[in-house]
Amino acid sequence: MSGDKYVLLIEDDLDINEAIQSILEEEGFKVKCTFNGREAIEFLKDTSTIPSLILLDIMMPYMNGYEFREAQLKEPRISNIPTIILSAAGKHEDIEKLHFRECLKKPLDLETLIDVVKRNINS
Amino acid sequence: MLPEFKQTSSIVNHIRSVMVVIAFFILLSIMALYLSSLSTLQGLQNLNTANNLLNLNMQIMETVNSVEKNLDKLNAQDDFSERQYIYQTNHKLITELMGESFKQADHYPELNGLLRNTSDAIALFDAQRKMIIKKLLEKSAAEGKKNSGETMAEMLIARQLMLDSKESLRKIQIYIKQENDRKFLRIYERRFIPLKVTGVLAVVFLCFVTISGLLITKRVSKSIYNLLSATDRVAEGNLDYQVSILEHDEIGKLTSAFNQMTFSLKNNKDKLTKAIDRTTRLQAITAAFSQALTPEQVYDIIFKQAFESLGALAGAIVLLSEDENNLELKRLEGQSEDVYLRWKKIPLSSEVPVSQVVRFKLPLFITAAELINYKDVDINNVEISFHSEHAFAFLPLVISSEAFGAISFSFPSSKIFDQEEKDFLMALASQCAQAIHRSQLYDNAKKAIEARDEFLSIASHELRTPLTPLKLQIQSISRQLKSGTLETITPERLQRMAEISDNQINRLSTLIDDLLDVSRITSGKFNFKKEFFSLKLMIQEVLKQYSQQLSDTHSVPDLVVEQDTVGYWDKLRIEQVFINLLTNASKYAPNRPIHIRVTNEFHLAKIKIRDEGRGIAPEDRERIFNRFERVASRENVGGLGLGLYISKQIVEAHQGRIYVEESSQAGTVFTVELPEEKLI
Repeated sequence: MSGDKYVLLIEDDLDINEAIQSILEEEGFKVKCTFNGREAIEFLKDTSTIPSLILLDIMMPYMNGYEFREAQLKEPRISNIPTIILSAAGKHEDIEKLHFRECLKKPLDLETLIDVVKRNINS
Repeated sequence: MLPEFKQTSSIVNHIRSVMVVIAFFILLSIMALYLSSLSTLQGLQNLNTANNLLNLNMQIMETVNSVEKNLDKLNAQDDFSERQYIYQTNHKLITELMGESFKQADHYPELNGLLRNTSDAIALFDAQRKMIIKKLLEKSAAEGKKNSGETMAEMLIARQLMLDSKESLRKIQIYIKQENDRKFLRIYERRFIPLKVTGVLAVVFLCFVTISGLLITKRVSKSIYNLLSATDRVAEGNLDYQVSILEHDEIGKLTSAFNQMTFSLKNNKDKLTKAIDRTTRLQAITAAFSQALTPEQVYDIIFKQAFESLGALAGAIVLLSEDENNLELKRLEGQSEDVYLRWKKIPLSSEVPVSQVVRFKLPLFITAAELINYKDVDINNVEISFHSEHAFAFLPLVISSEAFGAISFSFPSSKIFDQEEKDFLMALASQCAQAIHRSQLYDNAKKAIEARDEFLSIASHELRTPLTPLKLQIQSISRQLKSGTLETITPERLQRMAEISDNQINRLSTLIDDLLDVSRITSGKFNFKKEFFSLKLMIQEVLKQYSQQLSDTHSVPDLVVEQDTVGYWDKLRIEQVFINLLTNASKYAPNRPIHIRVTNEFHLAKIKIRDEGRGIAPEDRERIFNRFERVASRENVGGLGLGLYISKQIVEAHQGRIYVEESSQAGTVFTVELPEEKLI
């Protein structure tokens, strides 16, 4: 795995955050954990190396997934990062509009998660 | 109203007068005929008298002749006494005839003179003859038959007299004959006079009858034609036409009655048209209302209709607030923002028309001048000057005999609120009330559905969330089992996995409890079992119960009871609120003391829980009590974010308050206020 490739995880639930992080790290991916959209945007603004893939929860405090995606798409530097939704919510009417790469439904399936990350991180 | 009709003439009286005139004419004709006939009759009678006179004259003449003959024979002296007798008979006859003639000649004054002459001559003759007779008798007694000289002279005189009388008689005869002819001529000439008189009278009469008949007919026919043309117009539907009254007679009266009839017909028709118009408008409104779902849409329709169909200038809709103490202005049209802000909230007890209308459930129709009679209407306000030219209708919105609001419309001051208009406005208000009520129900239903959808969406999200790490942990183990790398998992990692899983199961369990509570709250089935209990004892019990959990987070509870309260509340629910705040404090500010103070201020029991955590930003202090909000997510805090929401609902259901207090000290202070409730 290339050293500077990493996954940006945006998920407010600490347990999910931790579980995904440990699983992806076990699979050999680097993971940067953030806990809401605002934090993630701030991180992206400051970081010199942008992530190769973003895993995005929708229902989060301060800045939800959709708001994050809108903010992301406005920034040319980060707008092309493949972004995948992790959501428990049933409604995804904004998925088309906001050009998400893929959508993973909670509870996540381990194999699917690893597969999706693998496929998208190298694209 | 039409002017009252006064009959000043009468056709019947006219006809009656004509009849009287006709009768008078007939009488006059009869009299004229009678009179003219009478003169003819008199003429005929005169003729008859003249004939009689003529006869008498002839007889007298004959008698005079016979007397004359007698006189001649008197000298012969033979049979003297016999002649004397004849003479006397004749004389008597003449006298009688003369008398008769006098009688008959009454109408002939000229004849009287002649008759008198004759009579005088005869009388003289008689005297002369008597003298002769006497001398003859004397002579015969003295000398016998001789001596006739003197007698002869006497005889001559007598003869002369005889001739005179005969002359007179002849004159009479001629006169009578002449007179007779003249009279006959006159009668003959006048034979057509009765006819003429009657004819003239008949012609005059005929003319009069014809002219008066024509006049009356003309007058009557003119009036009738006038009326007929009016009936035609009315039949065509022209009810505005009023027939001009030509004569103040019976037909005039009829015409006036007809006008009255047309007038009331028009009134009724107008009323009917208005009624139909209103029904149509109401139907249109009903139809429009049926399209309107939300209160806003209903208000739009109400004002559109009020402005377009009723000619309203401004309007407002107020509805009773939830606590039923105020009227809230829902919509104001035709007025400034300024007015809106002033009347945004109107206490129901205030003395203004809308409050009165809602209180008494009766409509109110007033003028701008009457508006100042209301105590709480500020006459100096701008809207009053704005309304000075207005008339107002305040209509209660009533459903199932309960007023839940009012509509007010203002109109130009020329607006007349007659009974029909009032009825219409009331009907409109009733329609509006139903529509608003319906739209509120719809709104509530919609909100309930939205809330339910949101609840389901969040519930599903929140239930799936703890499932995610659980599933990932289990799949991870199973994956490593399959790949035979299970041994690579360190015991610490395994321990952490077990902890995470246990955590998730606890989360799910609390989540289900919380969801049930929220479900009860949203469906209004939050039933409370109230009892008397001491806050102090309740808190002490909870602290004992949670001592293990508190020591896990190294939280040190510090309870200070300044004044305990024994209140009548739902113990389990208040306990739930306290536990929620306590566990929050222990979760968000672990390893720190938790300060708990129990006080009572003015019958308000208070529990203050202060942690020494990082505190809550002022802008978040309201938000955290909403559903699905959490103070922060950085910390490993389980739960749905429903705890504070549920706590708030419980406290508010007890008429209390829960809030985050501004604190000079570090950390967060949650305060729960509960009114010291007595037995209800």
